[in-house]
Amino acid sequence: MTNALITANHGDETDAETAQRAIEEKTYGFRLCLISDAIIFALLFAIFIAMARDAADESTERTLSQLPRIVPETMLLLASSVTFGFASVATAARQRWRAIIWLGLTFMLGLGFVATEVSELYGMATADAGPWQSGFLSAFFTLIGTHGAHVSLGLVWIALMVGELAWRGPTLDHVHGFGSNRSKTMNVIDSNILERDAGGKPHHTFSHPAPGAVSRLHRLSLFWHFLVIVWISMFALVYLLGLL
Amino acid sequence: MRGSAVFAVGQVKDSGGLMAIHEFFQHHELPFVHAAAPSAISIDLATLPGTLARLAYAPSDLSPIALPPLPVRRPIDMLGKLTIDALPFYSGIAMAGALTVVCGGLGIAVLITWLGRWRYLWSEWLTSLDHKKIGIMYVILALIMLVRGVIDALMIRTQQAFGFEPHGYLPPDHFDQIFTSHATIMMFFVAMPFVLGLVSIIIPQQIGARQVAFPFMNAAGLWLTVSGAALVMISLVVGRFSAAYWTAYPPQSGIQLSPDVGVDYWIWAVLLSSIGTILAGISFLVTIVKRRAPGMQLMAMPLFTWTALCTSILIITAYPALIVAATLLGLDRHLGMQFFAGSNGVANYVSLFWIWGHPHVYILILPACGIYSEVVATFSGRRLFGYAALIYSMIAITALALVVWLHHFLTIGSAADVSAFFGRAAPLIAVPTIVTIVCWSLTIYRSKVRFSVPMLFTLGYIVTFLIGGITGFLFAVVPAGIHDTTFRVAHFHNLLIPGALFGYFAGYQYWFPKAFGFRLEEKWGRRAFWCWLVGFGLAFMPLYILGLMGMPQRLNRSVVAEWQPYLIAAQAGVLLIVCGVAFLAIQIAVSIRDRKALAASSNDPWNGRTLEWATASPPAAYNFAALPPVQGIDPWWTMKQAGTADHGPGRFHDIIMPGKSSAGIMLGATSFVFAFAMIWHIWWLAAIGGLGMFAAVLSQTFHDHAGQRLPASDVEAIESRRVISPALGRGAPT
Repeated sequence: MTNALITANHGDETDAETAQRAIEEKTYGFRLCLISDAIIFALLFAIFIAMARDAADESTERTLSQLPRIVPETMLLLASSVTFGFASVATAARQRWRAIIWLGLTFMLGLGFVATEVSELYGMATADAGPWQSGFLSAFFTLIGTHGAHVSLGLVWIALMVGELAWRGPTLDHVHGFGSNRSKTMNVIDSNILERDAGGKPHHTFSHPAPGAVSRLHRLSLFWHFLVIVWISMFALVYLLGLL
Repeated sequence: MRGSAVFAVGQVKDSGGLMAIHEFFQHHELPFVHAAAPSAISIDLATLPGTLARLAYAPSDLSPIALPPLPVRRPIDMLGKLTIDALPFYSGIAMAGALTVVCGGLGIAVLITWLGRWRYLWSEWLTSLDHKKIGIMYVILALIMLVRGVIDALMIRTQQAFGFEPHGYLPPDHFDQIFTSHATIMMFFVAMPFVLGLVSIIIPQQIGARQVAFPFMNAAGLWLTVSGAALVMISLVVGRFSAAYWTAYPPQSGIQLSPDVGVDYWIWAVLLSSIGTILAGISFLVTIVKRRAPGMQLMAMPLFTWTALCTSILIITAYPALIVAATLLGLDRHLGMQFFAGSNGVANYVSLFWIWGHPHVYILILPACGIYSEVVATFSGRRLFGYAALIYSMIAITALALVVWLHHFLTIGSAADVSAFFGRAAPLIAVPTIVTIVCWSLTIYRSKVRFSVPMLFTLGYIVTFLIGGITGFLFAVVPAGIHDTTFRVAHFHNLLIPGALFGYFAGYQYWFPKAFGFRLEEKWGRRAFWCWLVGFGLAFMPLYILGLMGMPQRLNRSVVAEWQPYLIAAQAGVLLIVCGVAFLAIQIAVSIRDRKALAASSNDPWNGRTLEWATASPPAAYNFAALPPVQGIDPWWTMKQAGTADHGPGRFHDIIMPGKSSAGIMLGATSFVFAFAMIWHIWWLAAIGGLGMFAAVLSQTFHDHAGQRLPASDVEAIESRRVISPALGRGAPT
């Protein structure tokens, strides 16, 4: 059963290998976090469906009537998934500023999504359809709200990543190797000088993001696409449930 | 605010009382209408300032609707719901508990100051990212909370044995608080940290790794759990704890029946420790999957590592359900949501809770099985009989736990017959359990067993768990008659005391020399073991009988005189367990006093078989100067047989280790502040706490290389100081 499995040899690995392995471990761990998160969503879905079944008329009426607003909202999120894809492509091509622009676009689309969602929920709450009115509405608000909170967290994270890519910029870690004694500020100063020396354009070696930042961006993309998948399930199970 | 009138729930006593309510409403500028039916308005005058939480208003028909608590206007609104009434002046016993907590905390602080050890404590322990130190702190937390849990148990037993009408020395509400806190503490703050602590100390060493995959995540898990435990402790001093039992079923845990902060303490303690446990589970799973020494295949992993792997998987899948259950309960309580109010509401909560609850039993028992396996092999001095069979048993138990998980998942929304399912599922678990017991027995059979304390706990488990298994079988086949009796209490404890706690004690005794470099004293260990074993039997066998006699569980006083002899016997059993705890404490004190004598043997005091004994005791921060190559199971034993155990590495390398970080303890502290503020509705403080948590996590997020490089020369210097005993069991029988 297990003879085919080869364990990692981290006996005498180089610093670069250590860094690479750390990135792989983080990605793996992050996927496990997403599994836990997916189970939370699955449970909220289960509760929602149970509540909707108990209040069949109400649920159909409430959710189907929102379709005109939900379709553009969904489009915003789907588009943000595409723009994030372009940001990943730009990162892979080591084009830092292009990645920042695509991330910015993703941020705007995501913000639009959250704003639509908040206005939808606020409208319901003030129009006598708040979460305290019925079990169905409690489940609806909690499910949508949990997703919205996740997207908002993703927005904060995108903003931080843009900040890292833009200001902290590339570090020299991947050139000097692991455990360089130079401080981070030193690295930034150095790279600024080098960039200036290269005629105002970013020096080739330093124009791409550091491996750590790339891996963070990768995990953020996992998170973002995960949220899009959850939203598509919501679109089907929450808003189209009345049609089924 | 909508609706036409405000009504209160409770009882109006006289017209003077009515006037008081009128003035009260005027004072708070609430509309007051004298209803036509006086019985419909009611207010508990004795608790007038606090009753706003119970206020309900109805647009037309006077049927009360649950409302979130209205803001009470007081001169100082900065403290939310927190008033001087939150201090436990209502009862001498509660006051004594509060004073014990406060004095204990202050005493420790004074002691540390007197010894001048704050700096050492901060830099060597509290900010450490070393998996061994984090594990040790987990175990210390578990042992401290064990004392609290056992004291609670003693109080429960005393009340049930001697509490005649109208009630014993504890009022019913106080009794229920103690009942709830006993179970909550034992589950979340004794069993879970004990498991995670042992895993954290041992697993990296057992798989030949230098660190866990995510040192900060490991620390965050610890400090979130500590923060949850601190909430339970502070509830003794400020406010009160939940009286809705550890399962917190609605409607008992709803805002109408539990309007005070007790259930909120429960919710936040559970949430913080659940998140911490998930973080730890992820960290351990990645460590085991990604960081095994070269050559250590899955089927060469020690049993304890296997069970830690299985437990981590179950933690990651099961704990989200507890988070959802507790969160929805909080939403119902404070935002007036209706999750658990409808016809199927309670059934939904029960399903959610047991999606976590049933796998959680296996989460606690599996690592204990792993420890028993290690102990049996080591103290019998031979390879485990049926290594593969044992592993497949563990996998089977995990799979069964996941089936149970899925089953509950699918019952959401329907009032499925939970016990009918368990009637069929419970006997299934007997098969892998019997396989493990047979394998251990055959390992022990005709070997030269050393009956040290870890082995005693293991044998104690095998004997008592057989009883537990048989009663579990009874439990599964007998219809509902005994389900809500003390039979269930006895069965549950029979599963979890020998099945889990004895295993942790065995692991604690077995690995103590690993962590500290000297063994625990045997004599006091034996005394503690016998107290625990006999105490356990005496405390719970009567409960089986009482259950068959029909005594309901959770009874808060003595009702039937015939039950009293059994309850007194159970009381004696708990007193023996208290002695067991005391002996464990004495054992530590004596062992520290005699540490020179107890450290006389080598780094490998038990003649161990697995890789954790290949490191120094206590290990250097990096565990292994050179990562050991592994072929097959029991690699350390193999090295000793081949005579290569005392060979140092030919060449030393630089080793990169994680540095220190105060972010973990800051996360714990700020999460405590956040949760405390949320419980008492102190919003500004909650904002500060939330921002602090965010900052603590953020400070770690953008670290790529938070490491310290230990030069090869330093490694060599440390290793040359290490004494490798020449008598490493070479030539001993296999």
